[in-house]
Amino acid sequence: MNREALGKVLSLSCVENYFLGYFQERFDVRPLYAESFVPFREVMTAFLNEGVSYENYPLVRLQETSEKLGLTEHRYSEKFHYQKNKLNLIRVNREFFNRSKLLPWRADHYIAIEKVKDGYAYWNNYPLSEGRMSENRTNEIYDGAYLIFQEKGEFSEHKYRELCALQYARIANQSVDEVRITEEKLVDLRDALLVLKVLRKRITAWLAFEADNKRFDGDLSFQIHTEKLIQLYERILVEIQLQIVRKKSDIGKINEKLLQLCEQERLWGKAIQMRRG
Amino acid sequence: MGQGNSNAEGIMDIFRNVEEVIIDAVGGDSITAELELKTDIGLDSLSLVAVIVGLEEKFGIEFDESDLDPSKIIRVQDLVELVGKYV
Repeated sequence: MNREALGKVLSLSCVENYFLGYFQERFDVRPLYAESFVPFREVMTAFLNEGVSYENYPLVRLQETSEKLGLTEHRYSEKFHYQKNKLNLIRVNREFFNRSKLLPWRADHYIAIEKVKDGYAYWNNYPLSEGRMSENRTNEIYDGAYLIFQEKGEFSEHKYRELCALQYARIANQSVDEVRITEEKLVDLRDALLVLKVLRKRITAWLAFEADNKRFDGDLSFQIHTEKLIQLYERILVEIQLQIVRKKSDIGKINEKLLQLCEQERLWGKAIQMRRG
Repeated sequence: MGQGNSNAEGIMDIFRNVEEVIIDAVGGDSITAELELKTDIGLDSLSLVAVIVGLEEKFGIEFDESDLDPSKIIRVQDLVELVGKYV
């Protein structure tokens, strides 16, 4: 596990972050994205109309997909008992953040730890940091929840193909309704787009895996489609956040960019359908 | 020669201020110009905006939207150059 890797992985929670950071050094994690497609409209409706927020959006977590595929298994305990050669995560209390200026999105936050001489090395995905702490400090910040993940290595090709078939069907059936928002929905829109951006990056990685296995034609023109889509997500997110922070909203501009995004989503979905092997 | 020194000092001054704003946003002790904002420092789209607004306040400027393309603001150095365009 290393800090740089944690800043790059496609996670939507702290547990997913360490999970990917740790297991990507052990196996190809791209099949784990076989359940990562959620239609644009579904995410928008959840955030804009159903009061869902970034920290509680009900996605299938990568660690769940990993277990379905037979790649890993996990154990949860309230008692902390470090296990060698496994991914060890501990939930931390507020004491852990007393020297930090940023707080995580969720109240229940985990860090990854590894036993070293005189204590533990730790990695924290938000704010991105790593360090060492003594046994005493570890006990001080421990919040009574302990997760251990280990490699199982029994990849089920059959299950994977089943999940892929469902995912390709969901992509083919996606219809992208144009979205228009009002000022009071700006934060909800931002959160929806944050989730969608990561999900679309995951689909891109999954399709690259499919292309490597000759089941998808990930040619240059498809890569350009994808890059355009992701850049549009990034640009609109920065624009929204600037408007929120500057307290100067221009909903017309955001709605205009949303129209472009919907169009790009449609084109991207079509491009995937056309290239399926 | 004098002009060159003064430019270099100006850039160093901007860098120190950028460093201060980033540390203020995400913590830490020190940074270098080559560090990547996302992967090395851990700035996502949202904390990047916090840094951008912090720089605007510090330098009394307002960046034009066309200059704030996240695909072009990759390293600390890019932020230094961005501020340099305005001051």
